[in-house]
Amino acid sequence: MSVFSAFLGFLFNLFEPVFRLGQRWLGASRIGWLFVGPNLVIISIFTFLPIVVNLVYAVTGGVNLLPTQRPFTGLENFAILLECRDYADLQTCRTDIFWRSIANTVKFSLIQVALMVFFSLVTALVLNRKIIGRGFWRGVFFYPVLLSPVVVALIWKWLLQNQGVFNAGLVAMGGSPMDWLLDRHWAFFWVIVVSIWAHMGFYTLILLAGLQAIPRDVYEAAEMDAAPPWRVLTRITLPLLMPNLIVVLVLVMIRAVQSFDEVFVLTGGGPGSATTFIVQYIYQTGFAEQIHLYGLAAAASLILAAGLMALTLAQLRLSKAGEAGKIKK
Amino acid sequence: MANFFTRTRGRAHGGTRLHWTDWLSYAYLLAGLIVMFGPVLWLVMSSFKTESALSQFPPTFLPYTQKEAVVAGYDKPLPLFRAKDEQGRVRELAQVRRIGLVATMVDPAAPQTEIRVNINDRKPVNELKFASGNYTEIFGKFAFGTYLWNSVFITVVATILTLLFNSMAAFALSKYQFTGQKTVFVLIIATLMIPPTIILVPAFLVISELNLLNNLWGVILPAVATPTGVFLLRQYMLTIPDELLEAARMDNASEWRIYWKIILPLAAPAMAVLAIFSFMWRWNDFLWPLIVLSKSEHFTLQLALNAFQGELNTQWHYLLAMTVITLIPITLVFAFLQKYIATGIASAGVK
Amino acid sequence: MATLELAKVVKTFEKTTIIHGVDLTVSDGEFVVFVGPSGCGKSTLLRIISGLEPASSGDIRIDGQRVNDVSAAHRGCSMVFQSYALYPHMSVYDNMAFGLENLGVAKSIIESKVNAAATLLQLAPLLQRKPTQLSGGQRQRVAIGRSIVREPKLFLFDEPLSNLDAELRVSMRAEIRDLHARLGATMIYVTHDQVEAMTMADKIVVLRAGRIEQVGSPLELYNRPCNQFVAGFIGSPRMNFVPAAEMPGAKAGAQTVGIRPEHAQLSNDGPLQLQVSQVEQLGSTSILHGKVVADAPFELILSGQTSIKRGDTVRVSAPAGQLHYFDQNGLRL
Repeated sequence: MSVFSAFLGFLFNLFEPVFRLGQRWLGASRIGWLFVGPNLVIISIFTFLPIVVNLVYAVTGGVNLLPTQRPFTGLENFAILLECRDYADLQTCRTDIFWRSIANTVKFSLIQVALMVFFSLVTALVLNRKIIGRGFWRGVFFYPVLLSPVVVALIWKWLLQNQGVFNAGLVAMGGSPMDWLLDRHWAFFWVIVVSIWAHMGFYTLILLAGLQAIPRDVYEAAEMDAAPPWRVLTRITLPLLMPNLIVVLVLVMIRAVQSFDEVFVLTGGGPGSATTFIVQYIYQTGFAEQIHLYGLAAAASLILAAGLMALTLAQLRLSKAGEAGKIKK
Repeated sequence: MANFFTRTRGRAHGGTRLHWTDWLSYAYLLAGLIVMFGPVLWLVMSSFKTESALSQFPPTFLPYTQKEAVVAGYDKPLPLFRAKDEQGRVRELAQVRRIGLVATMVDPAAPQTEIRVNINDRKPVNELKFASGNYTEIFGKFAFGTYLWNSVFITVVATILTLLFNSMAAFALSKYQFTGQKTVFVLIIATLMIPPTIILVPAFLVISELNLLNNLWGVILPAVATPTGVFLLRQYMLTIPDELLEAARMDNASEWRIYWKIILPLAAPAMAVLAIFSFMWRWNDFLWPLIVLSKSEHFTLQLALNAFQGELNTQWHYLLAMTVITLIPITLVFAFLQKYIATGIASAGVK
Repeated sequence: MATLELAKVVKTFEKTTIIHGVDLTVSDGEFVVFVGPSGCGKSTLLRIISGLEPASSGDIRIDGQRVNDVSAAHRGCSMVFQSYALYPHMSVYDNMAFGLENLGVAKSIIESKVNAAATLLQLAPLLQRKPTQLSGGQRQRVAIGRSIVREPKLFLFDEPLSNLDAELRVSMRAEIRDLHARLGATMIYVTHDQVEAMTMADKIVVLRAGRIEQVGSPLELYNRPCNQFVAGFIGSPRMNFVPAAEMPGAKAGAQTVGIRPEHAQLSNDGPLQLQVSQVEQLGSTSILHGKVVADAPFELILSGQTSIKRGDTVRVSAPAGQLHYFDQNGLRL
């Protein structure tokens, strides 16, 4: 403990003179700049500057990392990514893997949103009942949220091994073992399952909080109003939960579109490119291939950014609409 | 069925009997327990199996391994089987060698006589054995200690810096009024809208120019200015009464002193929450370290796990042990500090 | 409309008995008020009648039929909650129509019933608004409207006016009384405010710690409180209590004598000596506060204005007919 406080004392003494000086220079209120300084510097260098530079990458080509050494190519990168002779047949695209990653991402996100919201809602409704040890059960569903995506992927990879426990069950039921992750459809299936397993608890928590905010006497009034359980659910609980549902919907969607870590470790994007999503495409193009195609990666990021912005705007509009009918307590 | 979802009051109008919907609820929760914890439990149990035990199919829950016996006249211990000998009696025999369909076995008590047994007439004798070697050998055979150190270093340093910078910024944004303050706040919150996935390439450039590629600091620095952290701490600091600061100023305390000796101690609960979050985020980081760190001696645990599992002949018994070690810290946090996590999520709210 | 009978109703919760064997009869069309200090069990009793809480033992009979095992929805009661419990996301119309919809009533009938109730309660122009857009008094009326529309056998009110400001409370009290007169329905009303009880009830049930202390009309309770608790609870300002020893001519066995402030009189040879500590001049009346024998607090109401001031000592008496005698157990003699 004393080592800790010695360390703190050291830090304190380290910075104090800097701030005393700053205080004299800047005066009482502008000293605030000194405090917010470090944070501001970091986000400027690592967030705002990159946003601007991203645009430079998107409109330049070549293989150099330094923007100054990259030839200007205009919208060529976008053309490479987006052009297809026949949009119905992805094979005709100049960069069919890009389109495929977009298609995979969209398909994954839509299915994920539906299932994730469903399971989170059901779990939240169950947890909202009067059960013993609610805190414990809540923790049970929340635990996987804390695990790192790599760990999550490995846990499931182990379960899905050819000699693994799932195949053992399959054999016990009379089937024969299969390489789950080497089959296009099963791999996609498991990616969805793993994703829901790993994140459901978080959204359950949000929905549970929303459910618990509904006052009890509204349910009692409904009881006096002879409302059958089905009507209580559809006409009272769900409408009052709607703002939270919308928030969860959008959060899930935004996260789903950016899925990378678990999927990458679980399937590597395979088999083939069956489970390659857009972020993996960006990573591969910009960093993993033999030649780092920074321009394409940047262009793809901008397209992703546009998509995310659209989603965020949709969220804002949806929650504004929700506000109109929302309860102000 | 809908009744199942809407009964927020457990006990029925009949007193203390449980309604069928209550049974269904508990069944669902139990199923949830199995689904959520089961895979992790399976991971842990598997990590204690020896390499040979792991190749058993179908796999057993507990780590069994074949018993071996030291037999006079043989240098290495021989595996034990329950086998039918030539007279048809079932005895516990040690196997010397196996050629084709025939195994040559001896009774450990009378090792001179060799007995021929058909391989279909024998079953291995198993004992419960926890292969703790899986856990100890990884430090020697692979640079696991290095990976562990890298993860710890990044996590601890990043958390300290996060706490420091975010609290300073939160302090400035909650207790001061200076021109441009609103803009700064908006800017910081705006970064919430910008996920790192969008700026991978230029961020890589910046790190490269700062000569921090392949350096742990290249992972630490971009991560310390978390907008969630600033938001969380600012919310909390707004509740600290201004009079305390004014009194301190009247007592001639410098602004830094005020920050360090008054604000920080009072903001301790929120700082604790942020520390837990930061720990979690940094320990679990994957994509950015993957991009920045390319030499294996700088790998974090997450990167090491990923690299290791990609190899052609994955040594699962080691990989499983590494995975378990990687998840122990966060599990401890979960077990003991759940309260903080719950309050953190509640107060950070949903933006 | 309907009658209500409670026979030996007991409610226990985790080893504590909240209601100790209550017996009560309510006749058709009566306006009954349950009144008592907080924690006396009046709301619990109301919720047991409604069916929201089960009774631990005893019988509840509505119109002669035992309803212990009948769910709240089908007992034919309606409830106005203290917090109104309006459905926040539904319009006023939908709030009132919800109950009838659940019973499968035809839309046209629902419309006519809701409109009738809305007209009765002056809610017609507000039918499309949401509860958040209404004032407290308006929300109160919607809650009442929701009750009316179901045409229940019993109307139950759980402290409906306690969230309103004083002025609104007074006018709403009158409106509820009005409603009772027009509908002629059986109504059970819970309040902690004895003034409300006195002004609204046909019959008052005074409760304390889960037991009925007395049942009677307001004037019965005022004139002949059966024990010291009821005597001190009903009537404002509170009845004064003095040791019987100080009052000459007290009944045998009496330990305490109760005198209402409005019945106490100044008299030159009165048995009590009042040390005045405070005088409230309200213009039309004056209230003297002070202490009599044995430091017992005493209040006296005088008509008109007075020149008596703080520190004065006056002598007090009361007409024999207005003295209430209580024995050592607090029971009336």
